[in-house]
Amino acid sequence: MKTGRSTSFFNIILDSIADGVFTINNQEEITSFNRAAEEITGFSRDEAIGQYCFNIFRANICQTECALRQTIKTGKPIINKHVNILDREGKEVPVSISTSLLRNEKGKVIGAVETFRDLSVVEELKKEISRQYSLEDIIGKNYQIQSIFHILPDIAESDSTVLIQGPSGSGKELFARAIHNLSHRKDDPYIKVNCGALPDTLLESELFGYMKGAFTDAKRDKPGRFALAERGTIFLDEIGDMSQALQIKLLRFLQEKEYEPLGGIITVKANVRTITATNKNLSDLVKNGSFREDLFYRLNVVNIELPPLSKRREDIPLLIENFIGKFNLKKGKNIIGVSDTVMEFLMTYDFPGNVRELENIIEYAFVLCKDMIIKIKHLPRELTHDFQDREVTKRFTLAHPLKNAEADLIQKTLKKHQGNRIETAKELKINRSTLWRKIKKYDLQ
Amino acid sequence: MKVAIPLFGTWVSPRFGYSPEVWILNVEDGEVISQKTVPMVGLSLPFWCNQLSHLGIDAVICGGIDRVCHYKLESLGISVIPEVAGEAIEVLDLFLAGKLEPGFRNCRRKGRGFKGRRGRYFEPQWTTDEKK
Repeated sequence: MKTGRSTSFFNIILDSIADGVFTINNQEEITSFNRAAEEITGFSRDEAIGQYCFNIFRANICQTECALRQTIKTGKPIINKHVNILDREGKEVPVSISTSLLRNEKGKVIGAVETFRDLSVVEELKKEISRQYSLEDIIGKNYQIQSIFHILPDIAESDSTVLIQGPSGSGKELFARAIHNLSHRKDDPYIKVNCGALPDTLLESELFGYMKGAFTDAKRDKPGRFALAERGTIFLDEIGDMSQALQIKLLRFLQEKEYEPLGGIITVKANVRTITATNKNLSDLVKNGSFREDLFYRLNVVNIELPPLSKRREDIPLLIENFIGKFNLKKGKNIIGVSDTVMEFLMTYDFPGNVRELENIIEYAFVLCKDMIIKIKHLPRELTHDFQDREVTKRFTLAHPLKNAEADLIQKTLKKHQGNRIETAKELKINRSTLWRKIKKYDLQ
Repeated sequence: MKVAIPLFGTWVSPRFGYSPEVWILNVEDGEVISQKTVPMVGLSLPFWCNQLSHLGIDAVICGGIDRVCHYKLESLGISVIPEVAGEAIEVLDLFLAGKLEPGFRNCRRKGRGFKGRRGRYFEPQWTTDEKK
């Protein structure tokens, strides 16, 4: 009677909770199912109790990384893991789940409990916020990027010449494209020329075009990129690599909005907006005389300076999410995110190749990852090698400097002998079993 | 006709598009002529539908299925028997006998015997007619 009353109290308490709660036994059969669980999943308590949890909960991780199974196996609770479930109406519902073991009064494991919270509203809000963090194909919540987002529509409308500066892979071309797309020229051509990719003479004929007979093999007139970009936008990338001779011709074009094709005698008027970009510091190039000062001031009417990814780390999770979505679509995969270790690695990595490097890392991981979560083993080894060493060092650095030094020395000696413990023990002048104990103690590889 | 059953171990996968493999059966006059399993691990939902279409599947027996996938499969000419739960072999027996209906759930529990050969039916919350 007492047990019956306490069960009833237990059910009342469970039903008063706003989060979904259900319990399972060791056979993964549902033993209790509260009111909120009924509302979120669409299954009634009667329908759920006695069923295997995976047939009712139907989360995207049930068949691969079931949280309850993991908790029963390891004894460790899982807290606030984001997944999605399929409700009874065939609708995906984003939820946050937490799991924990259930023990009887003797301490024996009798099952597990899972609580879950409907995140539909939160996800909607997140989508709304992420819309604020993106402009065209550019994503960023960093204050520098956000301030560029604010002025970009005005810059686009202004029709002025724009100079975009930033390290390689920071997204200069995306910004140029965004300026074009936001301008009144958006329906006209957008032409991109990489000034660093072509030799000087070829670049000149490529930009301004040539007339028949201008040089051997010039058998017919060929319009240049400026002509092709008429009424649209021309994007001159790597402008810092342009020769002095061509700089003069470009300067004239920017001043007069006219040019003469190679071998031509007629001056051609052009209505083209110019956007330029470089990963070099043009002021320095002006100082050392390799870039014309007058051209620099012509180009530098509106200046956009893009920060390297290492200076906008807060954007890394957003970018990862975006690249995962993009590659899921492109490669037909169903990857839902990265593991905590991968996130930690990416948040501390320097990214010399900036956003492009991050994109390449995620693309590489997509090739190797057969699961739903990208793990550290899926990332390029040459990048993660140092990180794993750093992990060992970091574990002891702050709290135990002496232990840190010992672990570091053992790790380095092991590495030197390619993991050979006998050789390592000999060099460290300790017993093999002592070495084994220390390897276990410091969790070394 | 070719029938596909997404598998989760020996069970019908509880959610379409998330199982590691699919059981493909060639069925004629209520008998299985040939069968094979095809790995589907890591594929996204649209690719699942396209893959089943490429495999020439006529009917899919599955657990829960996203509405969009349901429409997509039907638009590819594949009929769907959704919301089915149970051991795949038992579900197949019912299908071959022409007795499998959407929403079938068998209630066998380990160590407690089989509670009714016909199992329980949970009416799906929506039907194909409603969707159209």
